[in-house]
Amino acid sequence: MHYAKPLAKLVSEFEKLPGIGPKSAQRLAFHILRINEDEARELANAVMDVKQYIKLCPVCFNYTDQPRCEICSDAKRDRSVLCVVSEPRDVVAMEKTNEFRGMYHVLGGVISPMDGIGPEMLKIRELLARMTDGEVKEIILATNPTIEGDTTAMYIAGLLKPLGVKVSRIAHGMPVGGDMDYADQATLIQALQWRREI
Amino acid sequence: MDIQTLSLTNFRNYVDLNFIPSNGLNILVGMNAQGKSAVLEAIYFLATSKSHRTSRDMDLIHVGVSIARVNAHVDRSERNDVELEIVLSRAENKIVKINTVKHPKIGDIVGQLNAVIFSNSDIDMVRGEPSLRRRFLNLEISQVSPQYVYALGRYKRVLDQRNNLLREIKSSGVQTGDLGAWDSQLAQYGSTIIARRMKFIDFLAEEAAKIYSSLAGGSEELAVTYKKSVDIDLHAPESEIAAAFAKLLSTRRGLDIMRGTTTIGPHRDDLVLTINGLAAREFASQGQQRSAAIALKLAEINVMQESAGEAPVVLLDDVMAELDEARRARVLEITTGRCQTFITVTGLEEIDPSAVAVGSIFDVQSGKVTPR
Repeated sequence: MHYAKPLAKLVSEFEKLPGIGPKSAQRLAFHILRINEDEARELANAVMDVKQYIKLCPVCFNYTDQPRCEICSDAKRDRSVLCVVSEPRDVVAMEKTNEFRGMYHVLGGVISPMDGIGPEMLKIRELLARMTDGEVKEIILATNPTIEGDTTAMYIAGLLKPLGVKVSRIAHGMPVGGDMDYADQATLIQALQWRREI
Repeated sequence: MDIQTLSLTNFRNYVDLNFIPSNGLNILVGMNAQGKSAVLEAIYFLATSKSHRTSRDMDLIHVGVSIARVNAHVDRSERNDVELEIVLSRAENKIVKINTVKHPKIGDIVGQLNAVIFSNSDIDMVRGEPSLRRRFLNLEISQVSPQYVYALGRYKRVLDQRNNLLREIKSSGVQTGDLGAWDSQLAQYGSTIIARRMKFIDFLAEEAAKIYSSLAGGSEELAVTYKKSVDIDLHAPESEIAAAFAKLLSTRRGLDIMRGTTTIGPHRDDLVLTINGLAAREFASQGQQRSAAIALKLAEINVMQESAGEAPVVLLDDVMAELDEARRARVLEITTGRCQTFITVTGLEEIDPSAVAVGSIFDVQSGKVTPR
């Protein structure tokens, strides 16, 4: 396929994005060719603005365009409970529930020696620093139930326990509204392991 | 448990096969390279998601095409009947379907159909490397325990991560704090594996000893033991095994870092076979080794029947020619009338006339199976 040079450049930039293959990249590039100049500028500006204004919140390490993120500056939220997640998108997922009224701490990944990620590369030191004033009474470890997520949770729990704070791990098992028949075996085994008395 | 229909599309040399076996003894007769073993291979593949002849799935796809399919209807007395299917593709990962529903995890198919396969390479289980015996344990226990499949997968992942970390610590000289967390993860999944293996081997050993002495005429004694990393009692709860394993990992931490690998755990364990007290791997004659291998496999039929509640399908892949008359008779005696059995031979003279009389005979020639 021969594209004019600027078009080829746009296609190859799109291809670098996650989840975008050659076909989708081509479709997106042709779409941008069709839209008017104002729309194209809006898109370009949006991309640049994100890079320019979005920073990590110095308290919880979620993305924010303020000196301190909205959740961290909200006086109505419960400062005694802290939910530890691995990525900013996990905060979005939790916030959608409208259930959790505590604070967050974003680690920025999980421990994975295979990928060269050790605990010192995550925001774990910063998490411990948040414990010093004694305001936090409970920590919920909400990393993914993968080998790496579990290990990260276990490691952090080991560091927090001596501080006398309550540490819990989010439950994993059957999805709500799920069908036993369709659940995979790993999920069922987990559900059995994490069962609770009613 | 028996297979009611088996259909193969572009599997090995079968372009399109619809095979309806009997629920007793099925004798597949044909010259070499006609596709006898491929039928058994397909059944074993549905049972374990792995071939007993190759570790490369691509070898199973017919030359010149890109997609192969194996499908079977299985009649089960203890559970509902089930339709199993695996689709192999040169371009993508294999797909597993149970009752036409696609399952994201390949391992989900393991245990739906129980099969025990006898092949020429069984003797390697006795005389070969420990890894072959671990493979035997893993494949067989997986068939009866989904939890084992799960623990094994998680264990391998933790082991890879821990070994990576050990190499990293070795080269940097700095011990990171997360090693302890990896140790407890390894201990958790490792203890499940060790506990399941102990139970399996305990039962297997008893059955194998009985069968071996009947094969050897009662003068010799076969003992099967689990050479395990953790010294622990058979009835110890998993939490106790995990604690003992974790303790072992911490005492060997220095050594593990020096070697840059995890030097202890179920990935290093072995199944030890002795005949009259001597290690079968080194001291047994070829005949004794062969008998020990057959005794293990025959014992496995009983173990599987016990844990699944019904007899497994038995696959005898070109083993009859290797055996003397007494052992052949014993194999057929244990399987016939109890298990649906598939047997491959180049000529009917290889098996007992009484077996030929009760069996259904199929001729296999260049990718076609025809009832005689």
